[in-house]
Amino acid sequence: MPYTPNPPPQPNKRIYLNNTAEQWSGKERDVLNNLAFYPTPDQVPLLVGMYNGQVQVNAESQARAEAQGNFFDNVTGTYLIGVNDVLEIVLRNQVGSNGVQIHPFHMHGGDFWDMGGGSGAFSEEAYQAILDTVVPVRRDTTLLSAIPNGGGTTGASQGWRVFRWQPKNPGVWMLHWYLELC
Amino acid sequence: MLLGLQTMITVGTNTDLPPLPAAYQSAYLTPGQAGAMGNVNNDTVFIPYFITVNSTDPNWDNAKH
Repeated sequence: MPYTPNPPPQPNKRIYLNNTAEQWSGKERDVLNNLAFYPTPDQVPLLVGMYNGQVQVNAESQARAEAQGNFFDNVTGTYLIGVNDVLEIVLRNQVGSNGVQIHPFHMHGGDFWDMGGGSGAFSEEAYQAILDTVVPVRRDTTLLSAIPNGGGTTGASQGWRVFRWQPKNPGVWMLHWYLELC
Repeated sequence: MLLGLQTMITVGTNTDLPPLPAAYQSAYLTPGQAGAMGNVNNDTVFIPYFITVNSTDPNWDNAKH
């Protein structure tokens, strides 16, 4: 099969996702940017709410999310981007209550360009060094490293990963590691 | 119950969503039915799907997580 170059597009938005674990009243919670995923059966799924008109995601919502920083909208509890945006996501692995762990992350809604990652704290210099030498491949899952593993002070960054995502379709798309049934 | 480390990204707006094919129409609840399930009217103080260290338990015993 002939090789067809498919270089990553230039991003126009970037979000940072800090991954760690915390002890909340004796229970371990895995959190991204201090939020733990905890749906309950009595909550309306966001996409259902959008189709029903109960939840309005519009240009005003997107402006509000951008103004709050990191494009997070605390009304919908999601990150808001436009259909033509190219999003760069920087995953930062931080030491938490369980040390620092390696995690796979899987993106719904289309493949992404796995731009690369490294040990320690994320830096533009380290990222650029990868961009200068590596041709990113497309994946739907990548690995957030934990290097060095198991140590450091709480909150210290020990591993990072960057990927670029150009969504193919509007909607509500999940980015997750493995899920647990309990 | 599903637990996990995850977040969600909303691409586009309500008006960008494609129309539902007819076969899917009945899969989505009407506004009244869905509203009875949840509390989206209180969404200025409630973050759907997510809890913080200050949240009360959204589950049955109302204990803090």
